Amino acid sequence: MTIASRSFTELRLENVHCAFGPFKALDGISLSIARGEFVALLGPSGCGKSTALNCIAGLQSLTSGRLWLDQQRIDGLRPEQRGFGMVFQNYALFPHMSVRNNVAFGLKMKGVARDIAERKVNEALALVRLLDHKTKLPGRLSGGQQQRVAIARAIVVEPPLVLMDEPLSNLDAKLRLEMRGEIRRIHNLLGSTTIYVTHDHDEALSLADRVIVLRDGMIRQVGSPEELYFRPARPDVAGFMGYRNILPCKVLSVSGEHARVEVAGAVLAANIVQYVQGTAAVVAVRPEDLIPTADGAISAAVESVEFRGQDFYGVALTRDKFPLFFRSKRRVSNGEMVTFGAAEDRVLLYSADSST
Amino acid sequence: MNSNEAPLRTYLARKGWDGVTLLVVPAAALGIILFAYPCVYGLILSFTPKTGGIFASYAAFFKDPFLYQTMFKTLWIALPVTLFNLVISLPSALCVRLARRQRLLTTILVLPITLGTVLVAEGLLDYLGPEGWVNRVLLVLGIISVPMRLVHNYWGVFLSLVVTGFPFAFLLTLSYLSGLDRGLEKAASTLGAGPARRFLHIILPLILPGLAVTFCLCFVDAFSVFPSAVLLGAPAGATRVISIAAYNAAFEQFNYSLGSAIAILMGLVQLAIVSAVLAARRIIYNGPLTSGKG
Repeated sequence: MTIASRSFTELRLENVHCAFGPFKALDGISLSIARGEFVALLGPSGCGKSTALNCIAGLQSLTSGRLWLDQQRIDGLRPEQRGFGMVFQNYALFPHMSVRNNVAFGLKMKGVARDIAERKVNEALALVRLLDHKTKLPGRLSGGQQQRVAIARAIVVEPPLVLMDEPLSNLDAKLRLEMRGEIRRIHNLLGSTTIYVTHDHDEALSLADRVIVLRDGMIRQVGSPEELYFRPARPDVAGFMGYRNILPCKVLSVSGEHARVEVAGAVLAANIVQYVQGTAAVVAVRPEDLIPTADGAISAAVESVEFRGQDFYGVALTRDKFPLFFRSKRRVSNGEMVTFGAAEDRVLLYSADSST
Repeated sequence: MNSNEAPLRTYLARKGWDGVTLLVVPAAALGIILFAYPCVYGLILSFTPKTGGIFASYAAFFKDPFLYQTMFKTLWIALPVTLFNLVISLPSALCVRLARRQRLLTTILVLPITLGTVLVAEGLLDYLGPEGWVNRVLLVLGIISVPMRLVHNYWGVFLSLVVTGFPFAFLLTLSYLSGLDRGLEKAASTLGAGPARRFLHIILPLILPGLAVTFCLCFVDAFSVFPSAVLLGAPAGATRVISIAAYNAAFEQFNYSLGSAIAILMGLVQLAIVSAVLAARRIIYNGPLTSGKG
């Protein structure tokens, strides 16, 4: 029993658990992925995102739960029976085979005729712009080229599902940006279904149609990149999505979606995301939304500043020694007292214990 | 004084000579005293026979079937034993690599290495003998009706070389296998390769260079078999190996020149087989076992 066709409607994870001894890498994951989607599994290291990918690929067996591809239950199938394409973090290219043979390997295993295989290999290599390197051994390629061979090798068999395990983490910053575009381009061109594991929220936001944030083996939030960026559901997700300022606050008044809170001795207007009245509260603000202005409410002393091209990035300490991360258009100097303001819709209010 | 010393030191350092080079001296001295000198001495000895021209000892060897046949007899033991050890160590290493109690298993498998060849030979003499456990069990089970002859013939030597040679082959194979990136097999499996084809297309080609080296080391070891050929074999017949011939010539007939000539020929055969295998190894892929930079 194997999965022959690349056409399916959805992949479903049903209450998937995966434990290594007492450690629960996946603690009840339920999820459905539709054909053609680009889904990112995002989370800090140790959150279970790679384990989830390995479980889907069949490289790791589930402790309990089910995997469905439409009506077919697939969690009992071996990886070679599932036939999902996978791109590994260290590429895992076969060092003794030329680029051509690496890419042709999956076709050979499927028993595709030699001439058809050759044509498909050429197409795949053209897609990743590596036709000129066909006869080289992987060891002679640069990291970015190896990465592209790995992608070509995974997609040449036209798998129903392409799984990518932090494929860009071994590349330098510039190449990473380039390859990001490549990966999305190939996904769109082939209309494939991709599950992409990463710890980089920029990568997840820019690539995916849908982002799934994992932590401690559990799904913390599922949403579009915009939802996650502008309205993370919980403080821990906010922290992970670039809201570096998570400040304890006192809620003064609540009206509908809006609240007035006292933060670091100042009163701010905030938007309520998830707040149960009477509980301890925190507000989350991105550094770029914390703007130094003359009439700002929060005052703090600048601790350190670094110049990063467009903006200055800095840290300032409030009166009760709480660090505030901010960005500034103008140079501020160390020790300077600055007052910060923030737009109401950029200050998000949460119950502090909603992280658990 | 310093102005003269410094340039010399930098000059030597550039050529790769510095204080660390001195650490090689003991090993180099031992190498010369214990290997190079006896080797050269033996070589000269082999060309200075008691009677006849300089090649007389070599001629004597190739004229006497009782002598030159020892070479084939030795090959007839050493080559099959080496192949057998290699072939059985590969699956065991593949299993142990995945086993959880790798330490324990490895220790058990390696134990025979710590026993000397003589001890193993003595043990096997009892164990495989007509009154030994093997024959008794087979008799009781009714598999055989007469005790099998397992010692004082070819099989006695063969089995003892398996006992002492297998752990060595196994350890080397295991170390080569452990150097393989497990990710490669995972990648192959996601591309549709089952266990057999993963072995054939990924594991085997990548450890073949290692297996070639293992073959050479095991072969050299088996080819120079002496104690077990005497104790467990038929030193006058089927297992009259080349080292026995050399020993006889040198220490029983006191023909040191012939003894040396036989020893030199023995070395040449080993060298020929090893060079052939290593030359074959150069044709196959023997680069790094991973391609990634991760």
